[in-house]
Amino acid sequence: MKKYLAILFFLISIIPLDSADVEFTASVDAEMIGLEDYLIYTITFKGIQNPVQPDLSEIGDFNVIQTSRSSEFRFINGVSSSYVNFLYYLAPLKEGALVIPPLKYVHNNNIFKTQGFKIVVVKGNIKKIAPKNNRRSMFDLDEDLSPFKSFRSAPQEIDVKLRAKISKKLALVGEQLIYRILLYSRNRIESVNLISGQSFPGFWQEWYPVSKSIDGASEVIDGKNYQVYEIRKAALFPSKEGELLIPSVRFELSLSDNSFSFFSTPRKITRSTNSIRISAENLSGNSINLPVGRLNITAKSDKNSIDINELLTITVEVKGFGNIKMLKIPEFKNGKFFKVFPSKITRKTSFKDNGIFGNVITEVPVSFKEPGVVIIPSLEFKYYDPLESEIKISKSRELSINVTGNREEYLSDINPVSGGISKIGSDIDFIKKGTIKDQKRFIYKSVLFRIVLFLVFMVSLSFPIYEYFIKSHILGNKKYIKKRVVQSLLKKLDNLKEYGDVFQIIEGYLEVKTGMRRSEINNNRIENLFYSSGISKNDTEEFLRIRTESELSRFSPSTIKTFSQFKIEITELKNLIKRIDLKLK
Amino acid sequence: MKKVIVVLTLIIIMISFIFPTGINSRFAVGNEYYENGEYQKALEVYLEIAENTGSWKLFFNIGNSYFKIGDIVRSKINYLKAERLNPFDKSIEQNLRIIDGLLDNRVNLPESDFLTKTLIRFESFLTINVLSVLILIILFIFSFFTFKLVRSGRSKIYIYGILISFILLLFFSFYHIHRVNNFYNNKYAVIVAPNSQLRSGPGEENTILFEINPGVTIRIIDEHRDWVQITASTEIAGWIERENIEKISLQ
Repeated sequence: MKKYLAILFFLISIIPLDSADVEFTASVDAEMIGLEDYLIYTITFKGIQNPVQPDLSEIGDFNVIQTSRSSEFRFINGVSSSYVNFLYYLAPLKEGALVIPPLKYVHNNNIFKTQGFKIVVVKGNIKKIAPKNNRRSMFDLDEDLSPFKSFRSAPQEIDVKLRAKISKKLALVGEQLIYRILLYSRNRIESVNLISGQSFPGFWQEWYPVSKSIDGASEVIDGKNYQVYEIRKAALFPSKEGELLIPSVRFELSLSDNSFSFFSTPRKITRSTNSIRISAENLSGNSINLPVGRLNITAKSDKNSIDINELLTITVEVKGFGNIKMLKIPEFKNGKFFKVFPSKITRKTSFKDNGIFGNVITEVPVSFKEPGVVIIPSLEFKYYDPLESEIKISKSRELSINVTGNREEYLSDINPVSGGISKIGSDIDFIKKGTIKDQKRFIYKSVLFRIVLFLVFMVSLSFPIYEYFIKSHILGNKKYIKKRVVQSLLKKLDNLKEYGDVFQIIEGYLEVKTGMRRSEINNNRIENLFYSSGISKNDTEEFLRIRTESELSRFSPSTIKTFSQFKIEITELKNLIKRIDLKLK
Repeated sequence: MKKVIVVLTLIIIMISFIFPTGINSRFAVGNEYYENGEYQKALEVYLEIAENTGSWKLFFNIGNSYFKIGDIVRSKINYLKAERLNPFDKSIEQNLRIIDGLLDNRVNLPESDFLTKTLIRFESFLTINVLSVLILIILFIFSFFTFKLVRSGRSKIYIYGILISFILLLFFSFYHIHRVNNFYNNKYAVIVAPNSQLRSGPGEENTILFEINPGVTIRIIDEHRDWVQITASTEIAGWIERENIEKISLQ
């Protein structure tokens, strides 16, 4: 048992690991602003790629003036994480204490929520504008944006630069080039944030996913030792010929400032990469539209033998290095003995060190017209190999399919009672026949089901209710029992035939009513009890007389001779008991 | 013995409840139209049946009819409805593949994992009606043990019987509610409008992220007035106007 519990706890403890890497937070740059100021509201996603921009339409007290999006890395304690920030510049609409409500974001069925903020808005303009930094370091290309510079006593020397590199400057149209952005730094970098566009006209581009951890390497430049990080990487495919420009890309970098306190805000600087020019040329002559790369084609079928009424699926795959997303796959044409249906195409790419590797899979449904051995011809795929500088041809193998059975006429011979055609691989020409059952009609909705369910439920409920509530609390209640005793006594007296039995019935009544045991009941006790209960002397005497006479009648002839006398006596006794019962404690 | 017969009779009556009369003859009429190549007429008959009835065979034939008259998107929606009622049917899967091959935008939702597939397979056997009958049977068992406990005194067998049947009753009741809820509140839909735009938020003031073609199957994440937050693949997500999608609803 302990073993199972341990496994269970282990499973429970590992489930939240995935969501633990994801964060959705919000922050504001001030808690008090002027009515003429604006507030910078930042929403940060950690560990979510391509998050949807949160909707701020619910913020009624602010106007969204401008929004911007940025992504960044942060190196914290040797571990890097990817962040996406959405910045909203909010203008307050009125004075007073305004509220920014918490935001909700759904990711992988998990709901994340930010905290809410209370912003005090006063008249005028109270926000201080951060002073500009006039000092430039030797590698500075842009201004230092840190608003905290004026507070620093001894700012550290900044030695950070970016370089862009391309694998080849003379390329063919459609050829894969590797573009890398390297960060050279002698400072401690906390985060790298791309702030310019990364779209290059004239190229089809595939950016490598931003790695969660980047290892730095050492490199000595002009006698100085730099840490070098590859912060971005892309595969670029020139889409037209001529001279093409890869523009510079701008980043915002956060430097860890050792000169300030441990809790200081990181210092922010911006750096840009160098632009690069490359020359792209088309392939010549007939090969102008050929894909460029190192590729290979294969074809296989899911079966070698098939019934004529079934569909065969042929899977054609082209894989290798190249622009997989732009690749056109050769198609099968309808043959004399087979028919080709539209295919399903899936493309997968993976990012390797030396470029994008991927495959295009085409699943082609094929039906056959006649039985026999059908040859499906091979497919030919031409491409240009830039490494060997020649056109290459890759061929798939011929497929030989043994088709058996007889072609059924469309639905003509089908007996509807048998359930119709539901053969595996039947195509759109086939419909379903036979009887149908309503799968939307649920038993639980029927009145009959509800009645049966209710009755069974009530019956099962009534057993314990009767046993443990009615029987013990209502039927077993002392007041109820006493009430029932007198009724039972009167009933018994009505049905009485022997005068001698009166004695026993009365004793039974007194036993239940007073709690005395039968052995304890005698005339003296009864008299005392009746007296203490305030029962009149006459009634007491009459009761004792009847009791005594009844007892005696069991051993000697009774004074009551006739049935009518007996009935009168019983009626009197009943009235007497009713009076006594009202007063008896 | 008599009690068993009564219970069985009731169950049979309830099961027979799900077999409606009359629709099968209409279904045969629709099939006849289809066989004769009168796809529009066949579709009208099928749609008339579908107003009050839901059957995977019916949705399959509706899908075929839409395909024949050239409405591929609606064809896909109906195949998906058929697939919901009869998952793992090869002919539905095949037709969906043919449809997907004809659509421009071949964005696919991530495939279900092994656990989800197993759960779907399990649910295809344990239908809502089977669950309803099961709940009734468990309630009978619960009732029997309660009666025996009350009548015959505290026996461990009866106490455990009551306990187990009560736990099962609770479990299957909640599971039943969950299944009914899932049946009516489907999270999947298909893009029906051409040039639909996915935006970064609910509202036209938000940035356009993607254009998405009709026929793409999407999963609904959130809803906000006339806007729906959807995901179409691991990479494509955003907000779209409600009128641009059609839920794969069985209501």
